[in-house]
Amino acid sequence: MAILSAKKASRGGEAGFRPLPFLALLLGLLPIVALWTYPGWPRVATGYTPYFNFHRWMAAPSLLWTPPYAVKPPIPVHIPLSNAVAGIYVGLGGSPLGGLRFSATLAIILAALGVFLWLRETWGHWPAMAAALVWAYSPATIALAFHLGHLGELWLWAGVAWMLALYAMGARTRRAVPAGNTWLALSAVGVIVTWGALLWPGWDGWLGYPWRGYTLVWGGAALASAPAVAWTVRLARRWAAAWLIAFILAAIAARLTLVAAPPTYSQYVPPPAPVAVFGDDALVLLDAQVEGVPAPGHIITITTTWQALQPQAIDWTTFTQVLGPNDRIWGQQDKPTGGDYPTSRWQVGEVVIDTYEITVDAAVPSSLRLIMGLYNRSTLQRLPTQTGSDHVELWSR
Amino acid sequence: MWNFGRAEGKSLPGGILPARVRGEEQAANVWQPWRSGASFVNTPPASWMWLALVIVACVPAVLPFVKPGYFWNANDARHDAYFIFEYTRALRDGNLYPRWLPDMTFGYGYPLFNIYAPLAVQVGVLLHLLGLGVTQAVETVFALSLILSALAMYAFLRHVLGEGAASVAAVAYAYAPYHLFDMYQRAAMAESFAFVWMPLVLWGVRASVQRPFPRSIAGLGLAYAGLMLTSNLVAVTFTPLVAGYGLVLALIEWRERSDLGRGVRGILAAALGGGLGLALSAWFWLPALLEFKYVNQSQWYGGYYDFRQHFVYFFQLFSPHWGFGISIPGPDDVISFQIGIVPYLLAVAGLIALFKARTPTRVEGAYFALVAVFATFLTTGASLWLWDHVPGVAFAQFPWRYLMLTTVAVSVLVGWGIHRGAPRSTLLPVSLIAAAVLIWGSSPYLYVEVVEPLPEQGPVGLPALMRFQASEDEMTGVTIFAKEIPRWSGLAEIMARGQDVRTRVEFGHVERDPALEVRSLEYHSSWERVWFRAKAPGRRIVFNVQMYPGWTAYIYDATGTQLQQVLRWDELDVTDPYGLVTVPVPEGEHILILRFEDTPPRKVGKGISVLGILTLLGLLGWEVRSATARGPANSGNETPHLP
Repeated sequence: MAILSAKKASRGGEAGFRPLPFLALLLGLLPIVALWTYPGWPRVATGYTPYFNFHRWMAAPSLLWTPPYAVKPPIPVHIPLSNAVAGIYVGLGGSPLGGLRFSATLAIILAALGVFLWLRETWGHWPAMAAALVWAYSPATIALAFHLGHLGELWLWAGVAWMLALYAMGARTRRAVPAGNTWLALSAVGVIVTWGALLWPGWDGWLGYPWRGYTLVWGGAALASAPAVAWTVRLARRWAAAWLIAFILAAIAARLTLVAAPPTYSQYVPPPAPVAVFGDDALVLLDAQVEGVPAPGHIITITTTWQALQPQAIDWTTFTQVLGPNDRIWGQQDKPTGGDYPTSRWQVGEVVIDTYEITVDAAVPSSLRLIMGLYNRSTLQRLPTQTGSDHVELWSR
Repeated sequence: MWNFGRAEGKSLPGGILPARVRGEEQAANVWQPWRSGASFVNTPPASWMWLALVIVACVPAVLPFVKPGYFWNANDARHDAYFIFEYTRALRDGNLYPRWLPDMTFGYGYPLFNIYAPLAVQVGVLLHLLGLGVTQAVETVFALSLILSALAMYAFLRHVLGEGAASVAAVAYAYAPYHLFDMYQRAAMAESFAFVWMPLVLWGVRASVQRPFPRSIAGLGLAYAGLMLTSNLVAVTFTPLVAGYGLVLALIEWRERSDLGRGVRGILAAALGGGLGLALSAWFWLPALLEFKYVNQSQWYGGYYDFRQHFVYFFQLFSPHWGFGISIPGPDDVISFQIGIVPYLLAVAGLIALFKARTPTRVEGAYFALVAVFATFLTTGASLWLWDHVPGVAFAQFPWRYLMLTTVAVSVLVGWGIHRGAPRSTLLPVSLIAAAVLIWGSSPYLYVEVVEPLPEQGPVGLPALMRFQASEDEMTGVTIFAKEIPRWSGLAEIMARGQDVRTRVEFGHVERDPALEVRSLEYHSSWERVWFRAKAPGRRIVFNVQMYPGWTAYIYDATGTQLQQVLRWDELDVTDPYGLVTVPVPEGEHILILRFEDTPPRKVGKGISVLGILTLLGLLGWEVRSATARGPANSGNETPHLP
């Protein structure tokens, strides 16, 4: 208690800029930065939702908005900081996906810097650097970044970390010290929540879908656990240099998260908006390209690009129909979605291309439309889209 | 700028380690050869505990090879097995060093071991001759290479960083993802075995520069020769690193002792050691260098092997993704080109240590940091200009091969972190923890894909070898004399039935020539004796053997006693489209011997190697004499002087 409530100087707190721990932190973050340089998008549980939302936001930028495409858990109003940063990148000539990658990278770097500046005041440079690195490799950060794709929350935690940093720096100028013991008590809970979850049976699920940890709780816990990490480094200093312990701890964290559940990617770049979202974020029809005209006897080819945002319990069947007046069918094909690769085997975030062919009847009327949708073959029940319709219209005349 | 003084007791941030601990204990912990007079052989007595730690630490990485079965689908697993198989066949046929493998390229043969370094295969052959099966021999070579490479790194670094740090660096080296990738996925036997020699060469250079004793030079020569004979590709890519290291060490010697002559002597000794290594291995590399131009190089560097298709994306250097497959263009390789997040982070700790150090070895560490950065840079597309314009860079074939150098440098840096970061009192637990984290970091990668062989893979034998060549277009190298790459042959048909080839004479050609009669009298893997009767001048005997320097025809009289004509390879004809050796024969009845024999480069290479061996023996003799003259107290086995 005495230690924790003592003046900062006796705790080894350090003021001023020291380049080496700062440089070490940036080098320690390099793997995470590198993982965002893939020329595409990670296979995250939100799929390309951030990308679609970004396009909509860019069309009409605003300070507060409700994203048109749902991101779980749904938050009604967002501060589109992530989009704003991505927008700057796009304004400089980058691609939208590149902008979002840049935004995510910057959020992680800034958050880690925030943690560093926050704890440096209390625990010293190297323990603070350790805490920042361990935060960056924590399950919450890695899951948010590479498995969920929740860019907004990465920015949220960056903001919180900087508020703490500014508070700590303000406290320094007032020669008052934040209550270290309070932080450590919070931190103990944070450590248990953040890292204890990984010890739970089937812990790998904590990093991927369905990611049972509540985003806010786990993310907050990860941030809160940072002082405990710094404290650990301080305690272990008689064993080894703080910077060595810091990197051993960071390596352990990275092994538990990134190595255990490596990010996967896709080079696919979707159109600015999806064709349809089926079910409750179940399956996204990213694109549908129609080739051929519905002339009598002709074959229409539909090349579809799908993405699952949840594991699928059902092997869905796709129906494609050429409809005339009174919804009379003039050509159709029903086949398992994904063909030989049924939807129950699709990985969350995976992009799957599937092709359908419809032979149009010999005597088609002039008024036609082409629709497609999904149904459960065993119940014949169609899966509605998020607009409530049970199909999506791809073409009409 | 550099402070070459003794380890200073500069405190760590926040007074984490007191100056006394950091300075004095650290100095006592580390054997400092620049002060104690160490050399390649004159090393401190091994601490069996650390040595045992390194060996035990290697066990998990070796275990995948203990699994019954063979990793047939690994990239070069079939090549490894068939190289050993073919080498053993030639050896049993009396050919001690088979530069020519007669069963490659559907029986038309290929000068594989004239251009491809043989040592790793020879170790496999030895194990096979000792009773292991071919696939077991391959797996044992990999297991040995892993353990020996870790021991080699330990042996090198314990002179630089002390035993604890050296042990951790050895574990980092053994468990580096690229090292595991080379073994488990690529099944690159030569490159994996080269991991053994690289630290030994560095050790030799260090010893030669700092204490230019004959034994140091001899040790460097042996290590460099070992590397060259294991993988000429690795030797070429690694040599600039070694040369730079020697220069850095010489510079340290010069600055530390204010004696330019000492630095010059050191660098000359290292150059002598390197030269000795080149001499000892000249019997291989000289013909390889001069006669590589006679093989179709597009099969080595063209098409799929075009380096432009295989640059590593930046994210791949850190992506922990792991899988089995081959290198493909683009960012979506199934296989991994990662440095490894755990070794990387511990290497950053080593980098921090460099900033904090005040000893001469700091410059050495900085050099390895530069090597890590530059070698990694060479793996990426950003280095394209260097690949296109700097001679030798493209010799690596695949850009990601430079991860080999990154692995060496990163391992050294990992050791540096332990060296500076762990005080003597806690060196053991900190080293154990660091080693455990390194092993744990690579634990998801510790497996091989053991599968039953497909018909085109095994079981190892001539029929499967032919099926392998036909199905995969592998081991089908051609020489520049071939206008076409064969897809099958009559010889392959025979071998595919499990029968031995009894002659290489192309009897289809003989049958079409009524003025020619030919009968094979004796056949071996590198020569054949035939009887022929040519009823008219201008007849030619075609052999189902690819033309290549070394094929020589001896034409005797009918009794086989009187040599009448000798035709060197450049005096022989070639039959299209496969560039087959064709001997123009004189009219009448004669005996012809066609033999694959040494060319002038091979003879000169052998001569140089003999000189190298004599020099080596001379150096060792000189060393023994010097040691005897110095007496037992200074014989080189004394405990080194510790500060």
